[in-house]
Order: sequence, then C-alpha cells, then structure tokens
Amino acid sequence: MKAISLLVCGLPLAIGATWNINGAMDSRLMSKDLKDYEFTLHGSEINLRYTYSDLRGDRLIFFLQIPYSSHLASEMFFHHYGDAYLLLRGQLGEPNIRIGRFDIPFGILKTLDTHFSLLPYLYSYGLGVKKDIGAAVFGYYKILTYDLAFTQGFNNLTSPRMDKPITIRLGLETEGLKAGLSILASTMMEKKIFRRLGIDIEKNINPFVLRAEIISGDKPEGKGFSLLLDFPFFFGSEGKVTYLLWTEEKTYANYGVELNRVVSFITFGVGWVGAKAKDVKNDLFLQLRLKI
Amino acid sequence: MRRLHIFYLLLIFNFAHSGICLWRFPDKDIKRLFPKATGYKTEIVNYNKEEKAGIEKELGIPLDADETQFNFYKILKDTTPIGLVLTHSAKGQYGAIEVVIGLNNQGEVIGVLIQRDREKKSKELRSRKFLDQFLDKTAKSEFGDIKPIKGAERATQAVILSVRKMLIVNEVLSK
Repeated sequence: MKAISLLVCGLPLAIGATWNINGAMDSRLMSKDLKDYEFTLHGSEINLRYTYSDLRGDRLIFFLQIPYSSHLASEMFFHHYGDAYLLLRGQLGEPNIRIGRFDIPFGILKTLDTHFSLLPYLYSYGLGVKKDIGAAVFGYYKILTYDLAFTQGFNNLTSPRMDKPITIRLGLETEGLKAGLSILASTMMEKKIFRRLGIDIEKNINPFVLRAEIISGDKPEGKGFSLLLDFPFFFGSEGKVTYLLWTEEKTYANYGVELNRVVSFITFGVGWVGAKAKDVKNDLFLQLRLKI
Repeated sequence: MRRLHIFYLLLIFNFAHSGICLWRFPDKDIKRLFPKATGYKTEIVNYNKEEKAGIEKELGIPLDADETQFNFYKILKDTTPIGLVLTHSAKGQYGAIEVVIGLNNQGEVIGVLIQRDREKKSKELRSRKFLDQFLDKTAKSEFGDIKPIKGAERATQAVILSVRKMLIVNEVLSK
C-alpha cells in the first residue's frame, strides 16, 4: 500500500510530467414557443489533464472533467459532460488505448465536437448514448483510421439503454474529406439484440463544411439521416444549419440553425430548433459561453 | 444550491488557464515534418511579465487574451530531441486557420502545415509552393519576401502571423 501511495504521489513529480487545467461555462436563456423563458447554467466544467512522459515521449494522459450544471439530472447534461479517462499512448503510428468514460466512436461523434452545440444530433435518436464507460483501442494506418470500443451502454445515470455494446468504426481521412462506417451491436436489457449501422461523411466545400450521417438498425427497428452545413456568417461569426429525420415507432423531424461569434475567450451564440411533432415545441436559445 | 453554483464559478476563474490551438493529428504531422522521429513530449510553457513584454515587443502587437500559456511539443528520435512543433490558430477570411509549425533545434522552420481552414483558396494555401516559402525562417527573419496568394491576402497574413508569432514565442521562452 505504501509503495502504491508513493507511486501515485510521485507521478506529478516524475520527469516530463505536465499538468494542464482549463475550464468552460455554458449558460443559456431558453424559450419554448417564445412564451416560457428559462435561464440555465447548461453546463460548466473544470478540465484536469495530466500528461506523463518518459525519455521517449508522452506515454500516459489522465483526463478528468469536473462538471456542474443547474440541471444535474438532465439527460442532456449526462450526454455532454463527465469525461474521465486514462489514455495510454503507443509509439508514433501504433494503437492507443483509452479506459474510462468517453464519447463512443460511432458515426459523426468521432469527427465532430457536439459538446457546446445548440442543435440536435442523430446519435440522440439512433443510439441514445453519447458518452459511455469502457475501454477503446484506436489508431490509424496511412489514410485509414480504426476504433474499437467495449462499453457499458448507459444513456443516463440510472437506466442502461443497452447491455455492453461493442462499437467499431472504420474511417477514411484525406484532405477535405472524412468518411466512416460504424457498427454497434449489443443486447437490450430484455436480451433482445440491438444493432446499429452508421455511415458518416464530412466534406469541405470551402468555405462550407457539409456533414451527412445515416443510421439504420433493428430491435427496435429504426432508421434516419441528418444533414449539417457549417457556413461563415457576417462579422466573423459562424453558423450551422441542420435537418434530421428519425423513424422508430414514431417519426421525428428536427431542424435548426445556430450562429456563433467568438470574441477572445467568450462565445456568443443564438440558436433555434424546430420540430415536426405535435408534442414538441420550438426552442429559441441565447448562449453565452466562456472558455478559460 | 446557489452557493454551490457561485463556489464552482469562483473555482473555475481562480484555477483555470487557457489552452492554445489544439494539435489535431500529431502522429501524422510528425511523420511528415520529422520522418525519423519516434515520439514527442508535451510541455506546457507559462510566461512571466518580462517574457510577455519581450514577445509583444518583437511581435509588434499584443498577445491574444486567451494566449496565457503555450504548448511546446518536443520531437524525439529515440531519446534525443530533434526539433519542436508549435501550433497556432489565426483568423482567416472565412474563420480560423490552424497552423502547425516544425522547427529544428536551431529554431529554424523545417516545415509548415495547415491542419484546418475554410478558405476558398485552401488548395493554394496548403500548397508546397506557398508553405515552403517559410523554410529556414527564424525569429529574426523578415517576412516581406513571402509572396501572397492572390485573392487570399488575409489568409496569407494569418499564416505569416502564426509562423512569426510562434518563432518569437519559442525564442523568448526557450532562453
């Protein structure tokens, strides 16, 4: 026990050890159908990153995100916050191993950071899971990338969506084009097989970036697609517009637009998300984000 | 709950420091810039008031508010340092241009890569014809000889600023 304590305490002092701390805060004023207004601290985070290097370079990264929200129990908060993992780095070009809680490597989640976005994404309908606890291996060979993850299948704090899914993604990355084929296989809690197949594409058509994703699967049977276009807007601001359609027992259609303007470490955002469903309201967001 | 909220925000403001431009494809970029490299080591470098003043004097403009520290990536061949990689994000015509700069142990540019941009003239911006103009530049070099890309003058200036700034940062902070 004493030896372990000495090892743990000694790690920050080891040769090449580096600590990095940063943080972010995302506050939002949200309106449903321009009637009810609500101000929320959607999420905030302190990120601790510890990198351990030996004489041959970086070997281990420990990342811990300490999140906080005024809606700690919300599913959105659970989807977007709480990364905590160990990353074991191989030599250049060799596989890397990640153990802990991280984004599962399925579809667009592998190439797009949705962390602070105001828009809806297909993974929330098609998978129901964004971050999960488990282990992953990833790397690249020439223009190909690969990811393999074994995780728990939790989509919120208490009830698992799946039972220990296996996720595989094979990707291709060239200048201006990224594409991937993803497979997720699991059993539901009732021991039914849950499978999802995804195809994602990101194409630069400068100054625009077009992203498309298709997800299809069974038990429960579901299929859908999404389109997302990034575009430059006036006065240095950037925008995104999206449309997504998902059919399971019901059909869901979401569309939305978001504009962001970054001024130093502050980001101002405005977004609108609409839905073609009687029980879903239109959301208007004003966002103030700090990156520290 | 409100007290917890306020405590958390104070914690963020007190202890958090800014990161700088993310290095997106380290393994691939190292293979292009340093074909003999076997690894790299990340060092986060902070600066004091004198060093900040020194950088800004050389650069002629103030550092950005979020540039509170810099990531230095030391490139290794086995256990021997053979160079350094620095990254920087500058504003182009159509959003951020993220630049990866490779330096040898003498602080001379041995290669420049664009890891992300949305410029209409992206092909020209990423061309060897344009980027090779930065080879052998040092912190003391003049950059007036860099031929701009026609129709992408702002993007050209963004790349020049990135390379020049990181050369100066390296020179001041490596002393």
